[in-house]
Amino acid sequence: LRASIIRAVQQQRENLSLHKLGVVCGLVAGCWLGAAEAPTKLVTTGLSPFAISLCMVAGVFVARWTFPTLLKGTAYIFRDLRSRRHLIVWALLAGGLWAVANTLTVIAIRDVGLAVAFPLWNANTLVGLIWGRVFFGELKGAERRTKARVASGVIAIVASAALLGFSSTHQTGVTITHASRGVAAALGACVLWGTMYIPYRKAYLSGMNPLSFVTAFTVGELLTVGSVAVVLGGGVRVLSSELFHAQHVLFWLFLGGFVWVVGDLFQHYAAKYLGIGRGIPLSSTNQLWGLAWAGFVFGELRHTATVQQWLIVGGSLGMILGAFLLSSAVASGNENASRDEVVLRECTRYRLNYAETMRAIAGHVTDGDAGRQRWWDVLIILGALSLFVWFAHTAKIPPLPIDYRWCLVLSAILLITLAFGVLRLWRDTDFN
Amino acid sequence: MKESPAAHCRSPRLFALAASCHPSQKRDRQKLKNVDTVLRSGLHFTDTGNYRGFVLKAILSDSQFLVPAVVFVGGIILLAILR
Repeated sequence: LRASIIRAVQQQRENLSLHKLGVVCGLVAGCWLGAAEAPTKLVTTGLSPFAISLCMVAGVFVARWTFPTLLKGTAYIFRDLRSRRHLIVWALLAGGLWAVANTLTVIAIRDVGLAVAFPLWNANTLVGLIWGRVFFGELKGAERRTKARVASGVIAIVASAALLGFSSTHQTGVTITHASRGVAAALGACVLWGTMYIPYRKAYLSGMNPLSFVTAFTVGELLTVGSVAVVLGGGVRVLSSELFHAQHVLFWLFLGGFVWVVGDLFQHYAAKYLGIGRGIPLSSTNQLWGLAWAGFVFGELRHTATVQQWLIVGGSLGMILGAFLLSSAVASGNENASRDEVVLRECTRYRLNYAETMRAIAGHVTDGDAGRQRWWDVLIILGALSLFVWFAHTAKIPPLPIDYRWCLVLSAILLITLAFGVLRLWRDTDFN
Repeated sequence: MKESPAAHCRSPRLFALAASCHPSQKRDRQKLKNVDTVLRSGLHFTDTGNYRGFVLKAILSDSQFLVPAVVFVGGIILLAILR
């Protein structure tokens, strides 16, 4: 009896520690995903949205082979993918869902403007919450208090993001010519992004490493965005000539992709350790950071009206409250038991080793060779970095009013959060 | 002599598929290779259909796959309509 009590207490401690780790990852993800918008503001040439999207996703793909390759060697990643190869198609599909949703947002902004479109597609976290409950038993068996915290936290973050979206919108003169078309596109993006979280959770309940999932995810993303850009962007010739004449801005798009992939990785770790119901809304705090970059560095909020200022204050406070509510909603033993049942279902369906999968879910090392870099990893990192250096060499800073002091402050915050997040992940799970 | 993949088949359908193959036939060699892939992958083979690679496998054996797949196709159709 004593031994089982000690084991239960240890289990509870470990769950709490993983919850805290998930919260840290969600908040770091919000910080980096918000900052990813900053470099794209330096793209002032008339590139089509499809070309911008393609360059940024290409940047994401290349960036995946820089910093994340340092964390675990490619040998480990490919071994992990091979051992759960049924999940490769899920990851590719998730990348495709992201790409189609992203293109739909372009159409939605064109037809109804950001102020109407943003709150509609931003509800994707609520869609994710529903799928999490239906397919993966998230919040099943949770105490009523925990359920209330998660639900109110998600609603607070979604509503606050909408408020912040309104406050940063400068499109009051947008004529809504195709309202139903724009609304349909925004709602489509909402459903696609919300559904994208099913593969995320599926992968992590099967014990896959987020680094492995992101590897296949970025391939799916690049393939779909490339196809969409060619089909809708006027063909290969138009697209390549557009990119050729915009070489001086490619670095900013690639940099945006780099920042985005770091944020995305932390979002994946948050989805792994908190579930999609808690992890995804926490990373949606990116709206707050995006606004901070726009306001402090690019001075976009300099001439805001009083109503907009109140929207910013209200949205920021609401987002902090939502993040607090989600952070304090720790999963109980009953909720974890529901999760374990789902893990067992996945293991039975795909003949995975249950004990090993549970160890992987708890962030323990299941592979003694994990994290060892090989000589080709160094070559891959050097190759990816040299692309960034090449684009940086041709980059030009457009004549925009940039507050470099705030740029330094926010960059320092980014680096501090990265160091903290990486340290916690390394110490607690060795990036598993 | 190398052991036939059929010897390891736990699924009756997979066993029947492997047993019906003749290694001297080119088409059958491909079938055997597929059976071997299934066995090596460690995936659960359902008796509801023939093995046609991982995509079909994922769709056939896991109804959850249908949700993102249908949403993805729906998204593509929506994009084609709205462009």
